[in-house]
Amino acid sequence: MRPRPSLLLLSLVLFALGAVLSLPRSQAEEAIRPKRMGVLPQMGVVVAGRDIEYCGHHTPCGPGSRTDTIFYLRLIGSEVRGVAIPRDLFSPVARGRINAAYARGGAELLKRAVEEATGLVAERHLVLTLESVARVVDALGGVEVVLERPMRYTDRAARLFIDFPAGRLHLTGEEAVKYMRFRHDALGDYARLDRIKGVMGQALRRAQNPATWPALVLALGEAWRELDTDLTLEELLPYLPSVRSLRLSLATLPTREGPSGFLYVDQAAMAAFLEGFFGAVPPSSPPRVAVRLRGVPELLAWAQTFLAHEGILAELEVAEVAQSGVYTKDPEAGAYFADLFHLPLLFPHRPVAGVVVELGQDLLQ
Amino acid sequence: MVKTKEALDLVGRIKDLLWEKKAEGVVALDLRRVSESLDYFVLASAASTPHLEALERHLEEKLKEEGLRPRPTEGQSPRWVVLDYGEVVVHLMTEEARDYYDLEGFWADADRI
Repeated sequence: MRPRPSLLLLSLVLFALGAVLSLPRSQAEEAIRPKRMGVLPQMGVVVAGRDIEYCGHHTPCGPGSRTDTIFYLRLIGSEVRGVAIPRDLFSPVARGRINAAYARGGAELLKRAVEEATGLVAERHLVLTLESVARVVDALGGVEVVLERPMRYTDRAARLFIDFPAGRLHLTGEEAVKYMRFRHDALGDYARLDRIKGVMGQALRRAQNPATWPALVLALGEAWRELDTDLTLEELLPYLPSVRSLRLSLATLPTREGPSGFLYVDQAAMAAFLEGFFGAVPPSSPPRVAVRLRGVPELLAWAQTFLAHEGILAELEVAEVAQSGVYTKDPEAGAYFADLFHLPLLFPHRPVAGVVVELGQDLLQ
Repeated sequence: MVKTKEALDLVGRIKDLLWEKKAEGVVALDLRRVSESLDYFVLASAASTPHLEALERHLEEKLKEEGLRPRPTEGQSPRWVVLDYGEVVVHLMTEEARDYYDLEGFWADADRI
């Protein structure tokens, strides 16, 4: 099989695709079938996942009013750049943690809180439930993860029982939600956001496989009904033709720890982060940076030859890789390699030397 | 290039097998120019759910005799069956589902073969 470093779909557009494919079309909608004319508009969307509500002791009773996962996604033409926002971030407009903004003032306050934290305009919101995320992951056939150490946590009140052994695991939707909710390790919420970024990248790749579509449109049709969003189909339709060429980059908002366990935006790092992340364009010539290829041997050989054509010498490391992606702290060099390999660009919280291109089994379909 | 010929032969074989079982609206799309990750689609409509199942069975059995098996897929819909033969992906749909999901409209700029 030839390696297929395919382009990624965006979760937002996926939901749009699901919605479009699931709803009967009126004559008026037919008239605005996707035909891209000129440049796509830019749009800032806050995507958040709701946690669980308790109506009594140990009694979860449906989606909660807090949002424990918040992303700011900027749609720039056929590119999507996303910033994960730690839930413990102090938000002056929400007068507390940013994850309480949705409960205190609904989606409008959540958008204002995100705008305040990032300095970026949030035009629209899309608030998901854990069930809808699990349903979509199931429709995609689950996700694969590799755990370096066992993941164990019990929260009886939340009915959250996590017990995953170390090694390669195939997770169902419900298990993937648990994996993404786990935050009881040394890096806490940051590691959780990195795990979510990883699952998003993998889920989006799987969604590009036509074999998943029948199950996916069913799941998305059901999930769409549970969403709280002010996005309209008219707004989303123009993006549909570009699902084939969408590129995804995800980073975490730079923060620092402050009093009372709150996190604060690291203003000193913020300017460089925004300029680097949103202003980065792939350089036309190979950036002078250390490159390491990690992954399965057959892909390493292919990628090494591929890079040699570009005049790039890379270090090789045979490793088990669950999801492919480009990992770096350098937005410009990252953009170059993400573009070259058509892989998602992920800025993990953990330190990364140079650029690491991870090539996993997901590329060998 | 050999691969392309093999894939095109498979597209032709699949179309023949679908016609044998009276599939309707059999269309093959070459997506290579418009998609970085997809190669060929064969679309066909079935008159009813039993007809859909018959088409799926016929295609799977005949191609299995030739040593071809589809890749495993996740939960299928009763209105839409996907058989993934690598570069060639077959979408069998009821007429209603075919209209509803309109894959040809979505890939209107793909070449028909």
